[in-house]
Amino acid sequence: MADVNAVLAYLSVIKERDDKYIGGILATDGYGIPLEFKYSEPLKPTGLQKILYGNSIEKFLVVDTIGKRLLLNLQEKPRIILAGDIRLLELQTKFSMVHLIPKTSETQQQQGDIDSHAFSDDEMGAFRVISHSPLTADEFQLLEKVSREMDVMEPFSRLKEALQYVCSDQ
Amino acid sequence: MFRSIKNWTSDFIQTIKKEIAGVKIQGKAVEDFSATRFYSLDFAEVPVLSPPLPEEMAPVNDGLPRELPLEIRSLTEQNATLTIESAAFTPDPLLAESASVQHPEVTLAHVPAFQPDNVCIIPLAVEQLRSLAIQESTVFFAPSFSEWSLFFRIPIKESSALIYRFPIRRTPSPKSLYSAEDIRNAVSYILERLQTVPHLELVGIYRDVPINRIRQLSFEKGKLLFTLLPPKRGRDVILDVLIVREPAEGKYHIGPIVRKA
Repeated sequence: MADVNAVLAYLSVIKERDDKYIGGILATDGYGIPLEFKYSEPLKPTGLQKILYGNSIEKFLVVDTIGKRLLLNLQEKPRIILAGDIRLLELQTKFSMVHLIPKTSETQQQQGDIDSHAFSDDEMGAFRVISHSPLTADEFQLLEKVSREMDVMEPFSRLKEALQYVCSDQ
Repeated sequence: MFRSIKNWTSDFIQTIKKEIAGVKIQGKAVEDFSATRFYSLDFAEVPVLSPPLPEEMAPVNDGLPRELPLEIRSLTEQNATLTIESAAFTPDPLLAESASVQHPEVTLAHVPAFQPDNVCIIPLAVEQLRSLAIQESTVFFAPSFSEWSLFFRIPIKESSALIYRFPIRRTPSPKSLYSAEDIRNAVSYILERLQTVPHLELVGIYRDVPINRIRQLSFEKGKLLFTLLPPKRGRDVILDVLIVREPAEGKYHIGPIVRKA
C-alpha cells in the first residue's frame, strides 16, 4: 500500500473554447482520494487586456495569475505537486513540483522542446519527470511508489472534468 | 439826389450788417493773429516733380512702323546648360564670431570649403541643446477617462462536493500480483453471501478502493469507476477488491482481498 499520509497535489489550468481560463488544484492522498479541491472562477480576458498583454497573456494568466493564486490558497501541504502544464514549473513555490510526460512516441517528439538547461529531466517507469530542481531521493521514491499503486495521472482527468463542469455551469 | 444816395448808402450798410449777423463761423477762432508767423519759401529747396516732357511720352518718330512683321525662318534647338561655378568659402570673421556666441563649439572655421555637391553635416552639441531653455505651454483639456483594470482578479473557491461528483478510475491489476489463496478467500467471501452457487465471471481485481465510502460503482472498458460519499470520521477502509459478475442476473459482486505484505 502507498503511504496514506502522502499528499500529492495536481495543479492544472485549462483554456476553454470561448477563451475562458480556469484553473484548479486537487490535493489527494496516496490513493488518489480527494482531500482538498480549489478552483478559480472562469476568467475571460477583455479585448483591451489581450492587446496590452499580447502574446504573453496566456503565460501570465496560467502561471502568474491563476496558478500562483491557487497555490497560495492551498491549505494542504503536499509533498509533491504535479503540474499539468510545463509552464507551471516556473512558479516559485516551496514545494517540489514536477511535470510528468508519458514516454510514448508522441511525447518523445517533445523532448527537443524542453530546455535541458532550465529543467531537470529524469525517468521514472513509463514517465519522464521534468522539474526545475531534481527531486530528493525520498520524493522520487514516493512518486515511484504512488505510480505503482495507481494511475498517477488519473486525478488530472477528474480535475479537468470538474473545471469543465464549472465553466459550462457559468 | 444826395439824399437818395445817402438813403441808398444807409440801406446798403444795414443790409450788410444783417448779412454779417447771419453768418456762423465754424472752427477755432484765431486767438492772436499777431502770433502768426510767416516764412519765406526758398524754391531752391523744393524738389520739383514735373511730368515727363511731352516729347518723351510721344512715340519716337523715327520713320519706322511701330509693328514689325516677325518672320521665323528657322528654329535652332539649344540646350540650356546650367553651370555652377564652385568657389572656396571663406568665412566671414564677423559671422563666425556671431555663430560662436550661440554654439561655442561650432564655428564656421569647422565648416569645410563649401562645395555645391557636398552636404556639410555639422555635429550638434547635444549637451548644449539639452541645456537650452525650452518654453513649454501646457494646454489643459478635460478628458473623460475610462477606467480599465489591467489586472485580473481571481476569486478562488473551494468545493469538495464538486470533485466527488466525478468518479475515480481504477485500472485492473494483473492476477499475477496476488496469490491463489488471496483470490480464493475473496471468492469464498462472495459465495458465503449468495444462497445459490451461480455461474460467475471475473471482471477484475482493483487496487486501493475505499470500500466504506463508495456511493456508486460502474465499469467502463474494464475500468472500475466509483464515486465517493463525503468523508466520515475515522480512516477510510481501503482494500483491493475482486469483482465478479453474475451473467444470468447481471449482478456484480465484490470480494475484498487482504493483501499480505
